[in-house]
Amino acid sequence: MTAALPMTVIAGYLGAGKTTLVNHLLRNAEGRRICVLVNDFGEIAIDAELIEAREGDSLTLANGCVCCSIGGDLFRALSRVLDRVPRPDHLVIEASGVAEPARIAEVARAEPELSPGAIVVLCDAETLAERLAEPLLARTLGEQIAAADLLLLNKCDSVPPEPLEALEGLLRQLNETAAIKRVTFAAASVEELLAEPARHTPRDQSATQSHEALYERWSWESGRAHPVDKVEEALAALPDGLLRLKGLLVSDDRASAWEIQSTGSRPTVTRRRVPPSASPGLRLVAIALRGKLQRDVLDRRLAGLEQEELV
Amino acid sequence: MSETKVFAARKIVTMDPRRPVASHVAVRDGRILAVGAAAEVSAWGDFPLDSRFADKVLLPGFVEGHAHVLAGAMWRYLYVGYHDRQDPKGATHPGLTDIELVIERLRQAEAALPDAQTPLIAWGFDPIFLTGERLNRHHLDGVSASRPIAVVHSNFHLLTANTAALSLAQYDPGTQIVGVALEDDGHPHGELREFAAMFPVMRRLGIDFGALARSAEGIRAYGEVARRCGVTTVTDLIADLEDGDVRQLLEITGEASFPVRLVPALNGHAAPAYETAERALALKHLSTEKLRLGAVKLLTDGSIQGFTAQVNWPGYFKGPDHGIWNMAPEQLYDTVDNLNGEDIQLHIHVNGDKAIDMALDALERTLGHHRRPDHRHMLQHCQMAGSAQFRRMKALGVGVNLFANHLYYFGDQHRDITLGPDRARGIDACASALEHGVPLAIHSDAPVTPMGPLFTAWCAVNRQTASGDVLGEAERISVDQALQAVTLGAAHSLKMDDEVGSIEVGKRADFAVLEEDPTACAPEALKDIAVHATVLGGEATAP
Repeated sequence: MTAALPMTVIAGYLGAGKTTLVNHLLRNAEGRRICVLVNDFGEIAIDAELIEAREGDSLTLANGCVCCSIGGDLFRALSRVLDRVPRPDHLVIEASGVAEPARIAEVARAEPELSPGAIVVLCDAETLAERLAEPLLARTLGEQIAAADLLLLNKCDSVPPEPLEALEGLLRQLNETAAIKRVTFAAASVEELLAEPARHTPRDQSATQSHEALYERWSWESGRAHPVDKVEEALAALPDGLLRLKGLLVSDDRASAWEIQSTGSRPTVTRRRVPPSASPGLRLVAIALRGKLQRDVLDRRLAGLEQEELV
Repeated sequence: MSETKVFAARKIVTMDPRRPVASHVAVRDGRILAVGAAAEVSAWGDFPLDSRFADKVLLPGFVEGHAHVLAGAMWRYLYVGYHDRQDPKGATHPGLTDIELVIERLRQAEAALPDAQTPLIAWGFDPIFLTGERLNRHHLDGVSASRPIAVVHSNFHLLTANTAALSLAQYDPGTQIVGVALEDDGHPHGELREFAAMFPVMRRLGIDFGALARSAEGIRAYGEVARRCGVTTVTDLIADLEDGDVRQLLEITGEASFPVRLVPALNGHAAPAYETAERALALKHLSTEKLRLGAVKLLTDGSIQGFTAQVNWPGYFKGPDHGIWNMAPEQLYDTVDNLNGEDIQLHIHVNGDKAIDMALDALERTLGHHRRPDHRHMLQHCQMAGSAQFRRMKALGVGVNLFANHLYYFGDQHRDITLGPDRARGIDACASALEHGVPLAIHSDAPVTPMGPLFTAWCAVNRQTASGDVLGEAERISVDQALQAVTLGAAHSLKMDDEVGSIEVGKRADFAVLEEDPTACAPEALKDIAVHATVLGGEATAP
């Protein structure tokens, strides 16, 4: 009997870097014949000279790797991989952005011809906190993170160290045991990633906590369009603990608009096109871990801005 | 030019308000030449009279706007469901209302198998309707200790296997796999839940729903299932439609004996949106009289009875919320925008009210800049839609295909378990849809529930559950409205209302031939009317 085929699952929301990681794995396979099941080939960036054959829903590379499309039928895709002669050395499944990776990974525990590798979940450091606070996504993303054996915090080059630590704290709250690694361009060590073991116990999908309870949200809305430099001044040194601050300022004549963004202590303010439906004024939203949000400081800053205008 | 002929009937219910009732219909080149009294029809000339339906009632051929080829293909396996069901050959398989009857049916089938190895596979089983002990491997071991047996549940998300089948998958005592149910002593119970746990058994027993749905035998059986309940236009509301599949569909639907027009919708999840759009446009041009291509199906959430629908506050009544998304919100927005931008019709699966909100958001965004005055985008199932959502549908020009059969099959469960009495009264709100001016169709989602437009209409008219309770009297619609929803309404949902759905001059001569007049019988008797035959393109279809 042939040895069981090790299977690793890559998950993460849209834009977290799953495809970048798949490309990275295929380029750095170093002699391993990896078979990757992807949702679509569209973004698989393989130099033409490395492609040996393209046939229907599979792509064979010169280095021995294969990339196959799931095409909406995981049963068929997985059966075909197991029927391949010779068997690949390692199977990697790229889950869709809203998939529950634990459900997919479980098949490697159930199927005798597969052996379970890690669930690798990518998180976009720039947007993670915001995504987790979106009511439509909170549970799905929280479950993805909770299911991980390895969490890759991606795009770390574009986020300052302080919020990165806060994000790691956030990930730790959602998943007590997974290894957490900071990466850029999803460039993780291929050897480590494929060798990362799965948890020994089955994942209980029914035990999901409410992730919305982990955050606090603060918002501010004013019909008055303060001068942009005053707004910048008021937000210059933000209180600690904020994961994300975001806002829009639209001038009284609706001729100009500015976007305010911050993942650290100092916001960046950029001119942007005036959104068609936006009315004049200032709108701000901030997210922090529960208990870490200094509402009073933020309220005071903004109230000060309003007062100043009146004088 | 083919010969012109005239069908005489006891009564012809046309669904055309200008001429609601007639006695004769003349047919030429597969289309309707004239409808009316004998004298009006013969004004076109003296044509041969076909009186084989002289004592029958003709309606426009029914249009099933949401069903799947598996409704035919699954009959390769043994049916063990709770409700009576007719197979493609016309035999009725009586519903099995307790476990003993299920076991007995399995025993008979087992004894009839030619050799000792062939696995025994059954489908349609639904424990939700059965009281007493849950079906387990011991029951099935009593049928055979050596032959692998698998009973696939009606929702396709569960199966129950015997010990022989479990051993093939190496599910031993002490197995710890999510989805492999265990007995108190740690032995596998036999029930396997969801993809991961089911995969090893399905693979070893050769159960492959995808392959079944693309088999020629399955497609032909599907045509027969449709024909037997008076359907002349039937959807296959999610299909991969690869080149080979399309070649085969063109061949099979091109056969004179294939008794229905088939309308498959392309799976919008198998490729990036721009590729799906390109594919859908290319497919559209391959359409024929009997194979209509070009629409795309998208899925948002799961099902209410599976607790996987996305439900707004206050959530599920009893039981856990396992709401899933099949597509990320942003991806849905992007996909809907891409496809609407190419003027491709969308059928969007939504069950829970949160999913309905999301689909409407996606449509609102795209229709803001890609205006398509007659886009015909449809929300499919749309079971929890409330008044505010119907108003949004109206404003956006979106139609709805409601899952009326759910009222009967799952209405009691929605009242007692999933949604609670209040919201259960409002599910599949046909009257609200009409009241708000939203184009309405109703469907069976076969094989999830049996196909049968007269039954579907009965559900929308009576809103009676399996236990006999009436669920939301205020949402009842009239018999005429319900018949409209399974003919012209469903035809409209497929952009085929200029061709089928009513008996009018110029339209295709597709008829359902009934033993009784549904507009004259008691509304409670609608479901009991027998279908005698169908006519497709002027020709009586035959098995």
